[in-house]
Amino acid sequence: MLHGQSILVVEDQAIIGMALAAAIRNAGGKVVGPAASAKSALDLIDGNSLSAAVLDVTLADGTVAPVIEALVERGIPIIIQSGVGLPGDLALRFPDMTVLIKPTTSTVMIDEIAKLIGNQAACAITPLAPHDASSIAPVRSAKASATELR
Amino acid sequence: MRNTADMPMFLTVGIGASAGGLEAFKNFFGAMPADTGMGFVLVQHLAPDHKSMLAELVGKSTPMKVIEAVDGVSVEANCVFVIPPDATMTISGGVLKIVHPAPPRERRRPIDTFFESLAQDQGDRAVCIILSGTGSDGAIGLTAIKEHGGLTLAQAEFDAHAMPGMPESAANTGLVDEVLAVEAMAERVISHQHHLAGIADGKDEDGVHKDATSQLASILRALHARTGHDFSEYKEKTLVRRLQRRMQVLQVETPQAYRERLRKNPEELDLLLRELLISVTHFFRDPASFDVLNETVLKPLMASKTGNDEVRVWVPGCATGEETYTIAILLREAMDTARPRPKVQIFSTDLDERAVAVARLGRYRKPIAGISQERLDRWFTSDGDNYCILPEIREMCVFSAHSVIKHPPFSKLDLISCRNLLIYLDPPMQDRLMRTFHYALGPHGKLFLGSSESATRATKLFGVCDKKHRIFERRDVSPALPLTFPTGNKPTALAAPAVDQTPSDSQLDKYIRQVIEKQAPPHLLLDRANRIVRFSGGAVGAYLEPSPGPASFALFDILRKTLRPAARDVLQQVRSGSEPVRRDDVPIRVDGKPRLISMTAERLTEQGTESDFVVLALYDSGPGTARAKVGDVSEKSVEALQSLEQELQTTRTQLQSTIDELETANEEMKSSNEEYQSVNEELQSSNEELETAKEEMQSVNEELQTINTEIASKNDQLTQLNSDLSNLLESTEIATLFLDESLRVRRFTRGINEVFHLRDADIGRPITEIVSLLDYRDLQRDVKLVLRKLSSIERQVTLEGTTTTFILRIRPYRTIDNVIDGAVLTFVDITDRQVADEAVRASEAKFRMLFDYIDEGFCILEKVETRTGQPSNYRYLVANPGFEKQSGVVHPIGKTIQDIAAGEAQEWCNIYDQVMATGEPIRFERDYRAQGRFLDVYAFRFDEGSSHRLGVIFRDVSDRKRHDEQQELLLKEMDHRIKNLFAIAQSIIFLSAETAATPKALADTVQGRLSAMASAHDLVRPRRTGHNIELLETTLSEIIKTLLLPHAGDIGSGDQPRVTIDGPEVIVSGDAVASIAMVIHELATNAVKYGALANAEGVVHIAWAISKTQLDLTWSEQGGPVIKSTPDAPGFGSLLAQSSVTGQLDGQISYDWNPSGVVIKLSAALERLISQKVS
Repeated sequence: MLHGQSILVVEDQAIIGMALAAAIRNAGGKVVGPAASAKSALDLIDGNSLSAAVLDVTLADGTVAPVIEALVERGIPIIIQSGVGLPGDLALRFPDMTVLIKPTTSTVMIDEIAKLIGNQAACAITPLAPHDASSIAPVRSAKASATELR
Repeated sequence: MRNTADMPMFLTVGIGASAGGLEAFKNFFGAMPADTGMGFVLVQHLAPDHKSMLAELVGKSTPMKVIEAVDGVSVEANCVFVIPPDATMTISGGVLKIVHPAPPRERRRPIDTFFESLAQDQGDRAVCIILSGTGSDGAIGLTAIKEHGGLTLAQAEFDAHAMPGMPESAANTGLVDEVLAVEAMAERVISHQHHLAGIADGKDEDGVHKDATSQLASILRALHARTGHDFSEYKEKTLVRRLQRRMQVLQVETPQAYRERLRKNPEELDLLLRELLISVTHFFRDPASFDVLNETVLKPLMASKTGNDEVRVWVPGCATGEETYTIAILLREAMDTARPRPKVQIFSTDLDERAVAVARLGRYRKPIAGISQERLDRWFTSDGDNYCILPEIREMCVFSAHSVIKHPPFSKLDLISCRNLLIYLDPPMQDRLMRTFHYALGPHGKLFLGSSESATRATKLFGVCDKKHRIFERRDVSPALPLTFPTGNKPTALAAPAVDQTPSDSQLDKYIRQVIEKQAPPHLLLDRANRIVRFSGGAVGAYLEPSPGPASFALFDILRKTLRPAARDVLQQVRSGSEPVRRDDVPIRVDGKPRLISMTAERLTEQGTESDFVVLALYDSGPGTARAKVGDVSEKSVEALQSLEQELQTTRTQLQSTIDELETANEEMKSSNEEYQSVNEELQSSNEELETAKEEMQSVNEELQTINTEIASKNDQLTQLNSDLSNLLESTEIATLFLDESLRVRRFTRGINEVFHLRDADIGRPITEIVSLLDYRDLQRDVKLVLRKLSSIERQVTLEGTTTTFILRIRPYRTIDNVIDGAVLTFVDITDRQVADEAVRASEAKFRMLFDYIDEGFCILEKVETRTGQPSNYRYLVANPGFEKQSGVVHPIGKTIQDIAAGEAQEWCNIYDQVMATGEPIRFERDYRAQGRFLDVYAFRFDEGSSHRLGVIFRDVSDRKRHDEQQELLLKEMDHRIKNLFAIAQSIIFLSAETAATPKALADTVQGRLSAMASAHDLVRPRRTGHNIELLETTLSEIIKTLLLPHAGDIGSGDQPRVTIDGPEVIVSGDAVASIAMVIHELATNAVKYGALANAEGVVHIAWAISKTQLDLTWSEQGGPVIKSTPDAPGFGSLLAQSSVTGQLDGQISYDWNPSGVVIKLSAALERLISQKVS
């Protein structure tokens, strides 16, 4: 299903990361990671060609923000997997981010990753200016998309 | 009408009598012709149960028909009707009505009853006559007859004095036309009939009703009867003129009709009186005369008086007082310079009481003519449309209703001003008034008359001072007393009765006497001094021969000389004895012819005793001479002659001596007489003095009465005021008590009974003796204090044993003259107020307590006046202690919102403005940044008195807010964790499923891992500590103990613990707890399955140390099954452990598979052990 595509997994909980990795491998994808910290995640981004990334929000060394920035810069599609959704500041900056609320079944996750990869050409994710006045509306759309995904 | 041209006028004559009436009736009808054309009705007091013989008895004395009246009989002319016994008789329409029986004796007045009906029925055609009788019946009826214009007569006793009893009662009404002897009444009634008949229709050439003059008398009588004023001596023309004016006003054509009107409408008499009394007067009438009066009389008069003197002026006929006040003003002006001022009294009198009342007021309508502006300003005060005379002038004048004609005058006057009064009076009345004035004035008193009047008729009494201005001076001549002040028509009785009157005889006796006198010899009645007291009728003249000289009744002056010796002899004899004496054949010559006379003398006896009176009777014995014949002269006769001569001689001698005696006696009598005369003179003068004194007394009396009238009128005013005052006091319902200076009760209102047991009888008692209900002992002291200090005192006093409370005010009692005369105590009940006050206080205390103790902040704000466009602002008026506590602002009162919340004031004010505008309270929560607090606020419009106020209740809810935020944070964290745990669980299941051989194995694996996760999570489950909920941290040793407990029992205790732990406390929190738990669980699971805990002997030593940044932990197992080799491929548990350590914990893990037991070393970054909280 993922046809050997490289998927970056960033997850500080070892067991979750291992499960996610196993699910990606089972779907025919290639796992990069799992990385438990932002630092190791950034290292992996530099050293690999990635098709997509699944990110936890809280990492062992802090926030995932630098990882998102690096991925967005490179145009790599991202799925945020979080218990509480994207924190307010990140949600403002990245309104169109796909967010899956934990716990997410592996099937849903794989479907979502596949959909992202398929849409990549048509849907380039561009960051919004952090101080955009109309920043409140995208939060809603982010939530809306999360709802749709469920 | 019964009277026609040829018939005499029909009158009905009512005659009332009682005891002695029969005799009077007889005499009356004896003199009354039988053809007068009048009807007579007799009303006699009769015994009710006795048949009356009255009609028969009266019938004997008159040829007229005398009938006992029966009901329904008409009164006919020339008939006499007599009242039947036990009946009430009235007349109506000329028909008699008889009602039986008569009322009980005490209410029986048949004469009044009949006369009243007669007056109604017959009017001026009625005549009433009151004859002898006791009591007063008839007087009221007579009044009615008089009122209706009838003739009223009463029986006289003698002269014009009414008989005692009924006639006198009638006369005392003053309405009896004439008091006459019964015999004279017939004539009077007939003349009255003629008089009435004589009043024919039509007027005389003056346009005056011919009969007006005759009606005038009757009108004036009616006027007199009603008003007491007699105008009969006023000038007839004036009276008739004014009478006619009234008639014109009433459109009455004839005087009779006017009289009729007066009868029906007696008030008209009052109007007529007004008409007659109309007088024109004003201030300074004839100013020139007043100037002269002022210069020649008033000023010199005042100049001659000193302070102790009195100036007395009389203004008779003062009308409405202008003349009086004119004189008063002039006198007052003349007094300006005098010190001390003499007392001035101006007596002002008038008939017209209404005019006098006006004069008393001293108020005159503007404008006042005749008086200068200067005088108006000085002597009057202006009061609306009126000028009021100053009291100073008013007090000089005394006004009274008084008739100058009828009433006694004032006396010792300095001036009489009688202007334009005399012109209304007849000359005789004028003369009488002049005499009155002469009497009333003191020496050199002045009389001031009207311009058309004069005193020239009385030049003897008054001399002229100023002829042009009619000022006269009293001449000092002897007063023309007696003055008479007649009442009514009754002439004053003057003549005294004769000295020696014989008792009156009855009429019958008189007739008999007349017969006897015809038969009796001529005789003379002599007194002791031989004076003739009475002559008989008949030929007594033949024996008398008066002597020349003064007239005398002495017998021996008047008897024929030839009879005198015989008479003297006879009289001497009769006086010396008691037997009658006779002397025959006394020769005299009558008309030249000799006749013989016999005489007898006999003493009169009076009640058995002999009196001094002697009757000397003379008989004519026929012609002849002395019996002794010339031829018979014998010796015997000579002898006799000699003896006679002898006797004569003796007699002569006796006579001489008697004459001498007589002359001596005469002398004595003369001197006595002179003495008597002088005594008489003295008595006369004394009498004069008494008369004068009496007049003065009358004057003084008059003055006193006048003053009395004034006092009475003042008294009336005082009574009125007193009544007003009483009503005021009662209506205030304030208990009031008046005390005098010695604390005696003077007056009190009814309300005082709540405070003192006072009754009317207690007036005059000291208040200290009265039982007081007050709990107040200092009353006496306080009242005395008030009296001493003259200031009021106020006390609050209560009734003993009750809550009834009064405000007691004690004030000094000031009389109108500002003299302190006691004290006034008022008690105002304030119990209700007190109770209300108490309630208000209690309520206020409650609210004050609430205000002070509520934990909420409370304040009242007032909107500050700002200009339009300026931001609004509010000022703190009131704030409770809670305000400071809840807001943190100290002393807010007086400050504004701008002051205490500078940066955010506008936001607060906006909310408050909205509350003010809508009146709807608003509850809101707001950040109060100035004090860093969060407040819960309730704002409402404070509609008390002003609508610019706002009430605010608020509470500091910062803590709750913080707590809420914390809780929210916690909830988020928990949410995160739970989701994380689920994700882990999901992953555990997912991964375990990949490796498990059997479902049983899968279940065991999953169960073990999940319970490890649960145990670890339990260590860091959020806990509530007080108000806060916090996420717990745990320690490494705690985690190890918890996870190994199920496998190893007690850890580090007991005789031989299977697991020991050794290391410093390392705090672990957050996600790291799950990672470490997962690692320890995997290691423990391995040990239980394959390692030291797989048998009963193995032990596990866990030791750790920390460096600056790193935790180094060693897990070493010993005593377990022998390890043959290193496991060829790491199991899932090892992979998970490694992944956790290297990933999350940023450490390393290494295994050393010794045969005695595995030794695992792992490291972790310390910073990773304390997880970042979810932000």
